[in-house]
Amino acid sequence: MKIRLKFVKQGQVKFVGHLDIMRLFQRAIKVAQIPIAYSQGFNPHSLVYFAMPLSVGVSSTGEYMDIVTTIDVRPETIKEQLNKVLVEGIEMIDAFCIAEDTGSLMSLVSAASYEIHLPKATFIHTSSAAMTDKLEEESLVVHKKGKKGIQVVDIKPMILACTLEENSDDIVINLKAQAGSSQNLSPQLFLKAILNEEDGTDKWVNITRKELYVYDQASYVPLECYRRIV
Amino acid sequence: MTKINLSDSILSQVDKPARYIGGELNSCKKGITQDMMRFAFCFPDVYEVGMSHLGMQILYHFFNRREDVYCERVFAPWADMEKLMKLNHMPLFSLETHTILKNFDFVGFTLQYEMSYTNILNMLELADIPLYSEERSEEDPLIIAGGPCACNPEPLAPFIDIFYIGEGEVTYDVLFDKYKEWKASGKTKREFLEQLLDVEGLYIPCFYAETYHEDGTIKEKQTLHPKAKDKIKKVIVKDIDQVFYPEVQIVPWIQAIHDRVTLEMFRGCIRGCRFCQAGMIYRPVRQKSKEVLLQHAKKLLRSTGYEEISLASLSTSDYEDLQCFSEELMSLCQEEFVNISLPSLRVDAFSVDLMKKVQEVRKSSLTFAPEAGTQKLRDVINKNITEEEILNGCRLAFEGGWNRVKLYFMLGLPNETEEDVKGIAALAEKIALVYYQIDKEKRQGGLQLVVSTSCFVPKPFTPFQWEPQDSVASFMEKHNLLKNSIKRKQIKYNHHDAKTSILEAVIARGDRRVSALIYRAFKNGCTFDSWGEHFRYEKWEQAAEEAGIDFDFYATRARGYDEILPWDHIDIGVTKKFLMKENEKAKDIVTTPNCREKCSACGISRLEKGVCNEN
Ligand code: SF4
Repeated sequence: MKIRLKFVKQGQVKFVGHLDIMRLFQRAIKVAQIPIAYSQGFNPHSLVYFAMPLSVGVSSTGEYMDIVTTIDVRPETIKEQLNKVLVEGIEMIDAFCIAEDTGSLMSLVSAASYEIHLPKATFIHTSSAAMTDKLEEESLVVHKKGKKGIQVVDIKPMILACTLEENSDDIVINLKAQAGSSQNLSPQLFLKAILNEEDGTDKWVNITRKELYVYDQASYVPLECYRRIV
Repeated sequence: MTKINLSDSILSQVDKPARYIGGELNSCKKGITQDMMRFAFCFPDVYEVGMSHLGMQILYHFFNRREDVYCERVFAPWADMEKLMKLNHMPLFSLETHTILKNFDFVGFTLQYEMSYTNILNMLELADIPLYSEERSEEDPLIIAGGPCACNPEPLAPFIDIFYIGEGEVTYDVLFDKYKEWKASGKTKREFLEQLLDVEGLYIPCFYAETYHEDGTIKEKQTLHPKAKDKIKKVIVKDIDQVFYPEVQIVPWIQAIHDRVTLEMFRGCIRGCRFCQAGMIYRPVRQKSKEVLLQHAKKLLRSTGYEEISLASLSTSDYEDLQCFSEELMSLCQEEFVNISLPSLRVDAFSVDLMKKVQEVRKSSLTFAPEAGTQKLRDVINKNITEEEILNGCRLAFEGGWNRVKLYFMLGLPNETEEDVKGIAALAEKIALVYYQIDKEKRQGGLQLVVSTSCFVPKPFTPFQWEPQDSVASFMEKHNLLKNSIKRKQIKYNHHDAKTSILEAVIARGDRRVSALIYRAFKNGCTFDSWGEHFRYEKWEQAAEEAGIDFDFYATRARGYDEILPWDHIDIGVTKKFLMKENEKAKDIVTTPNCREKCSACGISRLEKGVCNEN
């Protein structure tokens, strides 16, 4: 039976990397005594799958994980069992069955939304007005370091929605952008494109990934609403 | 300030920030109350190293089983974090609650290897705690140290308030109870330390002193308090099946060196290799029963979700009933999809067979430690294994599908000649021939033999404690000799750095004056000395000059049996008489049977249980 879980990763646990979190889940699932299925072969491993890696230091309120169980279990029970075992900062917030033929998380993700907080105290050269101007231009070109050396990319087409707000401490950016294996705009690259260069790119920015989306019937649907079996 | 603010901004600037945050699966969270005793368990190395250490896992949960104690972990911050801490005036803190060390009742260090000592000083300094005991105030925590290297406490004596000699499960409860009483009484720290003079297994260095002859040797070990005992006796667990063992292990955030369940099969070793400190100081052998071990295994796998279990011991093959135990463990592990790892096996038919069973895929290499290249030298060190046994074991391994074998040897052992060094190459060559004698169809292609040598370091409480260490020049010559004696390209040779070993020898057999060397080295910027890339020999040489320490006096000088040794006031169980007898037998090239074959009256048999009373 295939179960999809949604969870949050907040607080200092956001500094634990993706691979380490994967190992944590593999172990937590065993500790919680969930009847997890194993792969065949010489080195059997538990059938646990993740969506898109979250970079170290980024929080999330919309992470996903698929597991396969050997027997039928109530998704709600799995969620509760895991929450009893899991560490502070990681919490399962939803669990549901999905059809056996639902694509892998990795292949489904095509967009993600982020909330980015820029502390005004440290980003003294950046203003929301200047950023809004940049966002309104036809193209938004940025140099990206990749495997094939430095590339010039226009990130404008990858931005699906973007709004700016200000409160007393921060400039708050809400960004929805393409994500996943074909087109991917990371919030870090986005910032590089719209921040004032004088503010540099190594200052601390508070980023939260809010949700992951699948492209279905000409619109972006949150993963939690996609092919859910009730 | 009692807690630090570990900001996102700082964490985002360091490598592997998960080293510093705490909150792992099975780590301990407690509400802090006013009368709670706070213990900072410090491992003077980086997180991944410390988290692999079984002793820390045991004591952490042992302390925390008490409601009135909260034990938290502290590791040495890596250089990048240290820099940021200094920049932000952030003192060293615990992982569990991010409390600064000054706020603890006890700051405890585990002494696992000598080359971690500068890290201890660094951690105290980062914690804003004065390094020398006499400079600390009534408000500063008590600094306590234990672990194998505490058997010669003198090189750290001026920095430490209390040394714990022996196994942690025995006396800590007494110490905690006495501390509670003392805290309520409002008496001074010195009065507390005086009280501890009655407690078995505790050494309070401020009540002891050393005087020296003109030639630098020790003239007298003095006690400075009427209650200070002449000899401090190691404490040991009598009933190993009954002793506390944690049902959980903290699962580290990032991949540790060893990331698995560890089962402690027994303490001690029956073998009595003459260079091996662990084999002497952990005597006598006490093995856990099969039933107890399987219980532990079940519970620990349940509570950690680990996919690997390792059997920890000095010599796994010596477990009685290993056949039955391993079979039951294997069936338990198969159900749970868990791998078994088996370090410290002897090379024999049974072991190879066992390895074959637990490792379905022969990916990893096999490791054997003959320690010396010739029979003569193996007899000198009492490594009771013959060439025939080694070759046989290797043949079985090759036939069993392994093609990679690692061999460990030591250079610079007492009585070693050129022939013995060449003997290592000869033995490796013979092993290679064994491989080529096997039918091509029956063996895995591509033989890879790795010969590794370490430099012998004479250690306290071994029969070789009086023996000189080789000089750096001699070690280098031997490295070259061995390198040139190995002709076959399938045999790779690598060796340890001789200079680190010299310092290890200086500190391991150091007296109280060596504390100045460690202090100066630290002040010159030495930390993480056990990490090759951080080790700076020139800085240590400079420190030696500043502290007036002559490396040769401690490393390459032979001691007489009548010389007072820096650790003579510690009673580790085996007697000096026994060690002398063993050293004489080494000179005569005579071996000693293991404890199961015949008791050699080493002096530890004061226990009612264990191998000593079996025959
Ligand atoms: S007393 Fe005898 S049996 Fe016991 S550890 Fe010593 S030598 Fe071995």
